[in-house]
Amino acid sequence: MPRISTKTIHEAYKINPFLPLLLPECRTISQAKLELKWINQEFAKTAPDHYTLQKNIKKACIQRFHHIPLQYILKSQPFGSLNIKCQPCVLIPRWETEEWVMDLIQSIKNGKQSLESKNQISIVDLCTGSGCIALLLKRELSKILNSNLNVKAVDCSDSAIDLVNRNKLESSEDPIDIEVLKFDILQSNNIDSILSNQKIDILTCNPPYIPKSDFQRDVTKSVKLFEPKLALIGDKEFYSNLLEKWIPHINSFVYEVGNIDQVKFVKDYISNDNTLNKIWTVGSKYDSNKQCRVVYGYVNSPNSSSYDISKIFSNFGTVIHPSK
Amino acid sequence: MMVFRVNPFIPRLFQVSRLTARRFQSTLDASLVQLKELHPSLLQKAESYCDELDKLKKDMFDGNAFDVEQQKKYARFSTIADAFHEYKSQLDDYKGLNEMIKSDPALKDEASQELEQLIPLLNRSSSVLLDKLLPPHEFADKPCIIELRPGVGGIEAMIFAQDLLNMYIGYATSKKWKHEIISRNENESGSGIVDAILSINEPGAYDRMRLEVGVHRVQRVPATETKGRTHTSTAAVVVLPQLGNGSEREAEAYERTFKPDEIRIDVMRARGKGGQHVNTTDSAVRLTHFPSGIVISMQDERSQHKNKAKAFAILKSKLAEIERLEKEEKERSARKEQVSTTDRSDKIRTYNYPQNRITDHRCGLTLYALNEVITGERLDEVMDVVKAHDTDERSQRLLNEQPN
Ligand SMILES: C[S@@+](CC[C@H](N)C(=O)[O-])C[C@H]1O[C@@H](n2cnc3c(N)ncnc32)[C@H](O)[C@@H]1O
Repeated sequence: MPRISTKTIHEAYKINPFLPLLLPECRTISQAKLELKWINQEFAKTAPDHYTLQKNIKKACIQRFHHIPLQYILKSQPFGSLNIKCQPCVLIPRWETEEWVMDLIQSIKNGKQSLESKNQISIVDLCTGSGCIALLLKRELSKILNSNLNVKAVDCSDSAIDLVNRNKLESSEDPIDIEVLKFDILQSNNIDSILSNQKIDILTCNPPYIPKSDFQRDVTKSVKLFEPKLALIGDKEFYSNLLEKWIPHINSFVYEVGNIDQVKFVKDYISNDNTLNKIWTVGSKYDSNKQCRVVYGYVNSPNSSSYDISKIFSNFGTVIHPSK
Repeated sequence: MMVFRVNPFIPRLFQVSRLTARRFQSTLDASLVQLKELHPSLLQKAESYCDELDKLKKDMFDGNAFDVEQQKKYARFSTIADAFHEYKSQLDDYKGLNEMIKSDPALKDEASQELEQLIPLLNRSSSVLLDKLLPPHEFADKPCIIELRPGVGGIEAMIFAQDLLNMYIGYATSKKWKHEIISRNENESGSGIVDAILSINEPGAYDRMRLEVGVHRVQRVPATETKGRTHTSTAAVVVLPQLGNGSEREAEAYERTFKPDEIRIDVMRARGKGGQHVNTTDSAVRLTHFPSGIVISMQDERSQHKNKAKAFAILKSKLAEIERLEKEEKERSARKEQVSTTDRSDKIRTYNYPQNRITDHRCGLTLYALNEVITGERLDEVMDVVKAHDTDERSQRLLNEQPN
């Protein structure tokens, strides 16, 4: 990334002496000013007096200069209608995730009649981290679905489990009722504790998807230095895990991806399998930044059935299997 | 000091402008002060509203249930009737006093004194009645958003746009109206703003602010000017109705009313692979509406989702205003109307700092109190006169429509 010019630094200093501290992460003066405003707003809520407020703001700006993520400093990140608490050792929710989750909610809203013949809908969110996906789905969908909605959130990290439990209570005005399970999805062969006796309707997951070989080159400094590697580094293993372990137990899945190879991997696996390729439809979805962001799939339902999961995906993305 | 300068020799309250002269009939001797008596056809209109009110009252008395439309009518007619009765009773007093003056010279002094006190009151109630008689503005009861942009004049224009923003904030504060800056982009290389949107969340604020629309002009000596020359610059003000509660849920529903090829949403300055690779705090959103060419950028919130909701709320306001203006334009051409109406590109007001003067070009008002108007404290005084002028124009239109 290009160096910030002395002129810009000087200009920033004239506006506010703290502003240059924000430039390395923000890059532009206008973004730095916005961050300073947000920092100010957040600390003004709790500071007992002006002096403490200024001290806290200064401290925050210095932390920012050392590339500490803003969300760890302000301890939260908005996610849809939620305000997700953030803490070190747990990944900060990204806007790309927020975007597809909001789209998914919208799609489900549009196709909800096809689910309502079932009186219990079950959603499982793997690699839940802060719990953002599971919590937002539960909160928004329980407003629109008539069926009971059971949401489970799974992660292997203690810090994540602690944080989800906090977010159940603190991310929204009312507590959000989801089940939180500590579980290593790659190690354990026994997924029964997550499954109830019925199939999972929607399996969501934002797995660590940055291949180790790309990590140094593609990841920005702040992420590299401060966000947990456990949440970031991974590749095909989580998608294999989906295809090998979960597929028999689910009616649909929505997985975030970091690159198009991961989409291809899932698609090829299904289209090359003589049983799966007849039962499953696979699609992909791009984000507003024109990056490949999601691979999803659902079972084709028999014509007679009133339960039809495909309806909730009708406008969600682009179908890539079966090919037309 | 405050001076009205429509005509320096006559105190303004007793003045009749060219327009008002057409609308009002003078019933007085030239020696007496002028009175704004309403045109008979307007009074007829008021009478007919009172009759309708009586009918509604009777219906209510008979136990018929009212629908929303009837309730609205009832509320409107009642306020008209109240204003009408007030006006009529004052007018009776006024006529009585005049009789007295004519018939009994002994009472002349006393009666004239009373008359002098009565006339301003009467003129006021006549304005109130007139305002009530006019068909209410489509968005009259709505809260509003005010958009400010510098015009010609470089940095001076940006500083002036900031001054106007402060003026409206000061005004809203003095009225104890809830308000909030929805977005504000500062000039990066100095003072002033590139644009700003202020929302005033008070029902009816639209009606109060709508006449602020247009180009405002400033004349002052810039801080950097060494030769002491006065510069002229401008800023544009747009006032839009606020049509919803601005919630994200509402914005989502609204978003779905557009076809996918009508709108585009861009996230700004996105770089690299995104997702887990970066953790950007840049939540800016740009919304483009192709049919109208409207582009709205929003970045003030940490949440991209909220920025998007705000952008859609503003789009909604803009499209509603466009639609209203088109409708107005159509009606006007249907009437083949000659009355010139203010255009968004017209200069409506001048703020002259060296003279501490403010002049509104639409109504000809000049006030030497710029430093108190620009804080918002005394903006009401200007707005009242502009409003009276607007009421005049609208009533003129109403009269033209009446066959008489
Ligand atoms: C990219 S983060 C996603 C967090 C959150 N869902 C989000 O979208 O912001 C991946 C999460 O997967 C968890 N994780 C990594 N390996 C796992 C495993 N084998 N079993 C379960 N969770 C795992 C990490 O602890 C981390 O919280």
